[in-house]
Amino acid sequence: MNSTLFSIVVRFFVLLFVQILIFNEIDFLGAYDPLIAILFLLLYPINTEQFSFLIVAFFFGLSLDIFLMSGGIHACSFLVAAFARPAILRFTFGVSYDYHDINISKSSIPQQLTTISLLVLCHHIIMYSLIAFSWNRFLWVIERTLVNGIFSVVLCFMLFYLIKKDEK
Amino acid sequence: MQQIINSILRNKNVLIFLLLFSFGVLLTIASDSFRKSTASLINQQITGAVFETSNQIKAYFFLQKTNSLLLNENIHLKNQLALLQEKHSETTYNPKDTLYFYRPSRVISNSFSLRNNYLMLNSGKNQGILPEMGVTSAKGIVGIVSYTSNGYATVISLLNSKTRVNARLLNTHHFGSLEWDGLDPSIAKLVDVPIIAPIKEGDTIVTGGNSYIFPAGLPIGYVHKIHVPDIQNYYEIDVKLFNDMTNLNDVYVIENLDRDEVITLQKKNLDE
Repeated sequence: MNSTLFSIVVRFFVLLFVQILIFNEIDFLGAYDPLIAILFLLLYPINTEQFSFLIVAFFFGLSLDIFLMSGGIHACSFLVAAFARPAILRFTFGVSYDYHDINISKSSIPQQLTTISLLVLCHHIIMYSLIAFSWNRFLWVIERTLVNGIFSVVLCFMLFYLIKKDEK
Repeated sequence: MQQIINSILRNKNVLIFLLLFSFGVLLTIASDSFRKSTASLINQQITGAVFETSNQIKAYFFLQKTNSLLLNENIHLKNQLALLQEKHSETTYNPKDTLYFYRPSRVISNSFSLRNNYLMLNSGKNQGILPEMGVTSAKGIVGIVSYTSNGYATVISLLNSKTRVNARLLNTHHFGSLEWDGLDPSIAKLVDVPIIAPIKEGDTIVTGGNSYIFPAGLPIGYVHKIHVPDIQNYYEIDVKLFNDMTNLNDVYVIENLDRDEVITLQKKNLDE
């Protein structure tokens, strides 16, 4: 097993269990749980094939679903976020994305924040829409997405900095 | 043919996306039938083992709170026992006459932010827990057991669109049906209470006992807000639950000892 694959597998399980056992127990104001598992999509190597990335992202979400008893909600939202990742990276990094010479942990703070926020936004919109499953609760979806989204982005960003320092 | 294969290969990312997405949505909609499958029972064993370990660690942080809760419940039960003994001091009182049997269990995993929420208990078939048994905590009812594996049980939470619990007003004995609208985990809705029932905010709601799942008189919550409908002759009442559904730990599973008899009777009635 080469080192890239090894670190993906380690991240898969570490983020999965950290999310389930720690961050899903926070219950801020009784309803909000920050989602840090999305770091898995952020840290996934950029120069890999999109095809395998989509499948891995789906199964990562599905594993969360199995533990959180939520059907296929996370599987769908992780899949959509993974599908949107190339577009998000192209938006944040411009042409340099197409030449595969970007490194998220070495980029500027605004770039990192934008990437994390857009990934979280994609994920949360799909997740809360699937939870609500009705147009009547459109405002509820927006409110949840924004509040929980800000919460998730802040924690993701902090964790991202912790992980980054370890890698040096 | 070559062209078709080429176009599939070119769009394989979009295709796999659509395929997996539809599969995910299907899982979300049909999550209930998925839960019945054998694969799900194996899942239950694995996730149950993980949550059980984490729960054992977590339980240490709440020992004091749990102790005081159990102590309060003990006092309440002792008082009731004293009352009962007084009542039955002349007649012979046989505890074997009871209709319900309580088993202790512990919630190891709990969801409350979804539309259809479930709980997991750390006891299952081996401990005598079967589907359609009621689950209650010291404060109020929690849900109904849906599936069991050897060591674990999945419970349909009160906070689920499929839950209907027969409930009544403690003072006036008017019946209604308790359901959840998916918005606030501390508020449930009591519907089908006839408009002639005298009712005011703060009234206690308890289980009705019109089913074989819960005995009558278990606490549920109190009246928080009353909506008087324009056309229909029934109230819609917001019930503030006594239980904090986001923080559940020790619970009891209730077995109705006459369950089989009740079910056969009901079946007979249906057949006729």
